Amino acid sequence: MEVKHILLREFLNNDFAVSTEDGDKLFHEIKGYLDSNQKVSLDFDGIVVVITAFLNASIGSLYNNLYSDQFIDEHLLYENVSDSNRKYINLVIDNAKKYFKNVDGFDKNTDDLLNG
Amino acid sequence: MAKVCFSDRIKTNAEGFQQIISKFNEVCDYKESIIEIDFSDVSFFDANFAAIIGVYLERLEELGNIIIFSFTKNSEKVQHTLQRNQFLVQRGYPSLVDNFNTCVPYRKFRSVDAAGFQQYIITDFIGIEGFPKMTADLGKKMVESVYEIYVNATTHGQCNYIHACGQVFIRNPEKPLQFCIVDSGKNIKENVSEHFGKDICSTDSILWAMELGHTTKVNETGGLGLGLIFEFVKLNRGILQVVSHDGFYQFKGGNVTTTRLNSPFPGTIVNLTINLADTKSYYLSNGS
Repeated sequence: MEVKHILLREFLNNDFAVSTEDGDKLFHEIKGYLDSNQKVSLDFDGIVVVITAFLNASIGSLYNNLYSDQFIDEHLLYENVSDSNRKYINLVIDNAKKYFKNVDGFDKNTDDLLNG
Repeated sequence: MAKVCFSDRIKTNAEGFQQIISKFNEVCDYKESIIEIDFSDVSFFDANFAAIIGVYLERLEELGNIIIFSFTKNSEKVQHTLQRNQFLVQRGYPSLVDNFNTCVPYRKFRSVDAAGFQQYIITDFIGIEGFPKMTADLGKKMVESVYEIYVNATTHGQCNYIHACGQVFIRNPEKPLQFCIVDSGKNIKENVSEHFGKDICSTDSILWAMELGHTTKVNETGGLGLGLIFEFVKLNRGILQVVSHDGFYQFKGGNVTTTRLNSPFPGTIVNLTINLADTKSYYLSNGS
């Protein structure tokens, strides 16, 4: 199977991966490929700054019950990811899985926090 | 004519925030008046607070007011600091050279001007020639933190402008940088109260928003940025302060304190104090 290669620096025309708008744009690009059952490789080569706001919009949103976790794990690949950025990606994915598996419960738990 | 009269020393602590906010709130509904900002009695002023004043001046000028400043010999140092960081230069004062390279200049950005903010970060923040040296790890973590705050403000604040300013204290061995990002948009209390459909006090709202994974966005994940900053500040032994409405939150030395200010701020202030002399690594497997 052909793997679609997305060089983030070129796709964003920027070496900062920070905005939610850019994250949304990437989300739709990835979704297009996944919807047609193609594998996608995100290449972080040359990216200087990555923050979770960008990763939530681009990668976290894929876990909104659009595909099975296993499908995403098998079809979304990463290249040239530093250890620190890998840590952020994992954090975003773990949080998204928890959140989208139980959106109502997630909010109820936080509501309980406010009410002691 | 109305006067905003500051007193003595204005530092980055609850009292300092309170003084700026309460004094400006006395005049913030004036229209088409002359407003004098009087620094005559101020012998010390933390320059990062220029970002807070910038938000108030944005509102006062929208209401057709004319702003003037007054300084005396006693407050000459304050005036010079605000000229060096460009705050007063944008209001007609001559620029002064920042000989010690300690100012992160005051800037005001349209909230949609992501490219402008990026340029600021590259040229005026980490790119200042002669800026105190720091490890690459620390610089990266600092830029990520500033961006998380900026994106948070533009996402949740729904405001027209973001104001930013910073100052490094090079005589202090830890070389702390104080950096302030301020918006006049929807504050944390409003967002959290709306999210839960009931009134939640400002300090509880900030405490909730500071928890990892908490977000007021609907059917979207988020809330990781502030949590990561929290971990970074803890390791760096820095300080994180948040003011939203009348809530003041501070994380310092491993302790969280909150208090209610006597006057509400019309937006959100995030102030980050980072020790630039810190040489520890931030990307080991310590969860940072």
